[in-house]
Amino acid sequence: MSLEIRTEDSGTGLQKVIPRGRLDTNTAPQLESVLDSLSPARVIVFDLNGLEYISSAGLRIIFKTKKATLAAGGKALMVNLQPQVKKVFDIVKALPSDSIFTSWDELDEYLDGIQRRIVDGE
Amino acid sequence: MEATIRIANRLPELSTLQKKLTALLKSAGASREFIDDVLLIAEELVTNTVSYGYEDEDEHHIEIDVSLLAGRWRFRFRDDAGAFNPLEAPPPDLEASDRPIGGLGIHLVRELSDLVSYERSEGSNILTVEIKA
Repeated sequence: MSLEIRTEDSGTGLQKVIPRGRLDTNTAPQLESVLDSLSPARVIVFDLNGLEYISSAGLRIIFKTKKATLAAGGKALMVNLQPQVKKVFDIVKALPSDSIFTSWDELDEYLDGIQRRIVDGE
Repeated sequence: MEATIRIANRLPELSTLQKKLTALLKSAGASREFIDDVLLIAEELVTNTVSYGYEDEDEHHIEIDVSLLAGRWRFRFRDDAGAFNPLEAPPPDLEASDRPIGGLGIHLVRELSDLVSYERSEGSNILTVEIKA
């Protein structure tokens, strides 16, 4: 019943957070302290491929991150939701569909789109 | 099938509870998905009680009676914390643009259960959750 968190920084504005295991009342503070070290002004992507379980304690951290990025001009996105996590997000109607992606391909396409809009000055 | 799990009112005890529930449900042939639903319900209810239920620093106990009867699982959470019926809490406004921080736990409990009821009896809060096996 534990949680491991890896982070990757692409240097181009994309910060990946990769939690593995179970995100519950007792492990949520670990994720919170990792997120406190990231910049909410950039894009934070949660790759949830290895996350088996989430409770409301985990949801709270993700909503908090979403709020902080929104206020700072960044973004919080999610990819590779596993069945239990997807079920919990569905029940709380957690996030607008443009925050959740089924694969990295889909997410990359979305990020490319944002990049293009920036380059084109839209 | 009938069993009782007893834990102290400390958050680290949650992992003891999760392990015991998992073993119990697994031995009864429950699926991983079902077990995770039950673990989530138990975590939300116990976290609430442990975090907000007690005004003193003393050790208290929370008991969870588990039974499987006629194709229905029943989980009875009993604690001696101050009288509190979580079912009276207003449902969170999930459509609000500013996401609510509270109320999500009990909302998950309701959504994952077939029946949830509360009673206050002899100084105890008793919350009963039933789920079809």
